Amino acid sequence: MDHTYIDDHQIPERYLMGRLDPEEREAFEEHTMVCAECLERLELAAGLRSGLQQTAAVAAVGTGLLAALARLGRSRGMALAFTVLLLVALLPSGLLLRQMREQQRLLAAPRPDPRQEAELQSARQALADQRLQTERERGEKDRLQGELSGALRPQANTPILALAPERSAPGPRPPTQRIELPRGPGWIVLALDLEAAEYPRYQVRLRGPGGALLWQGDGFEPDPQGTLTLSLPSTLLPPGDLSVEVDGLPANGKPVRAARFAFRAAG
Amino acid sequence: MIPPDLEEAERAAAIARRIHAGDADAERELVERYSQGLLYHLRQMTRDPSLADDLHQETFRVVLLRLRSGALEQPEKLAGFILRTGRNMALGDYRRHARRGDFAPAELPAEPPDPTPGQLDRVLRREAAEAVQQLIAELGSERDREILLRFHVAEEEKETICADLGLTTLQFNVVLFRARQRFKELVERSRQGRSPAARKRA
Repeated sequence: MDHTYIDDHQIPERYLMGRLDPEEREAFEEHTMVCAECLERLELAAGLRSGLQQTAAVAAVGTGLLAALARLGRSRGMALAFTVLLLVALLPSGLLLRQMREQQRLLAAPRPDPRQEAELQSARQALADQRLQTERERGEKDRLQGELSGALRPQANTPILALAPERSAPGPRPPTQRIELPRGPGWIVLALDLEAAEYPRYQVRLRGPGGALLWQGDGFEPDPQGTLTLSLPSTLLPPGDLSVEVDGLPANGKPVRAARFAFRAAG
Repeated sequence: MIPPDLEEAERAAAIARRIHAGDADAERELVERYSQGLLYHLRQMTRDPSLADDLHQETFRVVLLRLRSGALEQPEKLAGFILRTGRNMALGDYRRHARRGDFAPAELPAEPPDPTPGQLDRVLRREAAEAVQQLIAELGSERDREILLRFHVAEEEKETICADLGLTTLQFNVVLFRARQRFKELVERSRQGRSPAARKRA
């Protein structure tokens, strides 16, 4: 840590006044965790500040000038400062010291309220958490924007997988149809042969390894040849064994399973 | 902006790594290295030396458990991690007392139950005030008094004070530096005159 910088910029004093920005405050606090010299500087600055404030308060109240100056519209701090300047210049220091001792108990600076301190810490923590969350969201937004701009560019050699429905119940055998996932974000086309397209519309569910639902949509109409073509962002497909369930949507009644397709995505 | 402390970052990361690897010497090094700073900040937060001592021990217990069980995301920020843990401990302690109704709804008690911290606090305050009184009396020029009071009491910006008084930054820094050094001497002299027990508590 650069002690010249700390000295030249009165970092301990500004820390005590609450004048450091959050990054500087954090950096200085962390530094005081390991630097005995700066810790002593901080304690000295706190003592000097506390002593000056007490002296100013004693002097100001002792003469009643504080109230008079405050009524004149000056800030409290300035009133204190100029009152003390005046008093220190005019009064013998012994007198001022006696005044100070007599009024010490009454005029000691108020103890910092631990509750306020705790609330302040809590608010600081919440702010730091919020900042972290915002950073994360910004990172995610940037990533998605990158994906989107990549996806919107014209693409060549888009992978197309023509799938035929499974003839039997899903079993332990791996799917015979495979598709290579592109290295970067892009599109993958699945051409689902429904064979007998007897419903006006269909709903589709894409399931990942272990049957986890990756995506679903409905209201899809097959082409006149009975093929339903889906374009999917490649980022939606994890490597592994995947399946597509297609249910027909009759005009009235519940969806009816029309076909199930299985394929392996290789990354 | 305060320049980053690269040396501390390297040492902190090394200590964190060694503790994670089961190095008992590194655990001792961690406590020795961060103990004084943590205690200072805990005392500032709690204003209660005995509570600060308890929280200090508890903080190191929690920090060591965390470091033994898993690596930190930012091991170079170990000091900050310890400090945050200590603050959370203090905050948790405060909340526990608040829930139990130890504090009046409107405000905390004026004095903690144990009179010792209050007495000590008053001693330190009186000591500081007396040292300042002597310091002010010793200051040779009206200008130096004005600088100290405007900066520390009125909390005016350094640039404003320098502009008003026609000072360079260096002159301003020198006044503050000398005042601080003299204040230190006066406080040390005062502490030497106090009882050993009181000095130990301070």
